[in-house]
Amino acid sequence: MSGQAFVDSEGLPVSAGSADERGAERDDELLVEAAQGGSAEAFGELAERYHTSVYGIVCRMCGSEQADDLSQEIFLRALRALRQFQFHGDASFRTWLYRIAVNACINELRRRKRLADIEGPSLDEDIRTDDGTVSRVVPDETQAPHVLAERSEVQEAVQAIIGSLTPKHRAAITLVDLQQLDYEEAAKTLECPLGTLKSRLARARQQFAEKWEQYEAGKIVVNADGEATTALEEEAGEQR
Amino acid sequence: MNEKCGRFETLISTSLDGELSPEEADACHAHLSVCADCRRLSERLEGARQVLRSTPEPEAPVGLLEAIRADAEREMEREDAVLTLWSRWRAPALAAVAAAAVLLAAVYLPRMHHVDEVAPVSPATEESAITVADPDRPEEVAVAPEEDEEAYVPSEPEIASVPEETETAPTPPPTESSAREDVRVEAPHVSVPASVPEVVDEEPTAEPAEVADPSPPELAHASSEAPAARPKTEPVLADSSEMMIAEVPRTTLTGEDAAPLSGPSSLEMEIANSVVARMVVDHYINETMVEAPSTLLAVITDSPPSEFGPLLTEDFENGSFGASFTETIRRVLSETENGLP
Repeated sequence: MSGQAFVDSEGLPVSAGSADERGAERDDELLVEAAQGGSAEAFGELAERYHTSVYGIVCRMCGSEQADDLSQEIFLRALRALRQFQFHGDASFRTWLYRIAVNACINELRRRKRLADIEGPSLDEDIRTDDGTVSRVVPDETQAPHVLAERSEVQEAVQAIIGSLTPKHRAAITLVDLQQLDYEEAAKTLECPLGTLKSRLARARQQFAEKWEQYEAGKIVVNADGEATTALEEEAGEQR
Repeated sequence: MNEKCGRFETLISTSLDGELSPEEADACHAHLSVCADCRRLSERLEGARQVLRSTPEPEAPVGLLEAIRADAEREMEREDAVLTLWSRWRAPALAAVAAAAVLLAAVYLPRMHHVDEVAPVSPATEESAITVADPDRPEEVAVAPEEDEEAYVPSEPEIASVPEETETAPTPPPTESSAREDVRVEAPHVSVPASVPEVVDEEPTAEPAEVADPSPPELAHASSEAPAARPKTEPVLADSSEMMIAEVPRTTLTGEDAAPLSGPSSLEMEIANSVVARMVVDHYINETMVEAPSTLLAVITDSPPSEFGPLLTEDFENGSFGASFTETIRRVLSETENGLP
């Protein structure tokens, strides 16, 4: 947190770290107004609050490869669109920012798919097995400490299985189960009806549960490169 | 799990988050109490949910926040620069746009309309049209069209079709453009002498003369006198289209210049004046925050026109607004006062 102090309309200092959610939204409002007025520091405060969440959404939706670049791009898009943002009704800055993030991730996934269609089979193409489709996770070239630290086997497996879901199912499970948004906020973020969100989430959880059971049963393994693959393929690889 | 259980899948998932209504929760619990498959499903979904929620959020890279802050500062500086530039150049830019609107209207609106207007033809053009059909003076025909070709090269279909029309069909009502075509398309006939006598044999000499409708006296005077080029500071404002046509040099008709044939009509100038006046009034309302029409009129008409840029003042009576423009301003202000657009 920088030393920049922001005050509300009553002259009281704004506490960026308030635990009260409504208070946090009020803080957001003041920071957004300051940023709309041209304060880069105010936008920096907003970025400090939300950059970890946005980075988490990007990692869950698109994988950790180039997640920092995409997160940076998301904040730049948000800044450029900030003048059009208004607090009205139930609109919150967090929902608005997450919507930008999810849309950017879905666009990135589409871009990668188009690229894969053009270039042919790639390392991150889904693996078709008798038990269904399992996605690979492309080996992460980043050797940064934060990447290495989070590379526990369970986390790799969770990431690999989430990566095998459709983008819409990924988004639902990311926002509700990983970012732990309530249903209403998640539905607003995804710009879909509440019922649609519930059904997407139910389907996503079912698919995740099925693959998680396969992982626990040893049918899906995560290799040293962080790839989720079937046990049969792993054995074939070792024999080669 | 049977077909009936299908509708409970979503309810079971939703119940794990406590997002069911009381009625839905009752129905869900009632079903779970009797359906073993759905109880297993509930356990699986709860297990998946626990795994997902216990997964720690990835930590953002150390440099990410600083990179975002740097982006924000750069972006804000860029926006500031644009806003500063705009505030500095807003008035000149507005004036330039206004002047461009007037000039475009003055140049292009007449071109859009002059085909439809019945415009007289200068005696020079009339003479050319007649002499083209005169087999005894082919050398005269050979000179004038050559000059025209520099400015206007007719396409092949035009060259071929026009003489046929003069042979068989009555000539359409003469217009300025058709008269010009008469002048320009005759050259090929000179190079093919055999066709010339045929036209003369079949058509009375009076017919070509009718094509070139006599000009009104003032136009004939304007063209025959060949006035000097209009000074740049000459006012564009005109009271009638006829006056503007008389003022425009006839060089265009003889192909020496590609300038427009006529100035804007009074209606066109009224439209252009209205556009510019509206922009000027809006500019002053935004800039001076004065909304009383009488005050605005004084402010606008008493202000040095140079504020609106050199382009505008050059074309408006050497730096002062014309009377009709001031009147238009007055009308626009009146509309503003009455709340009209």
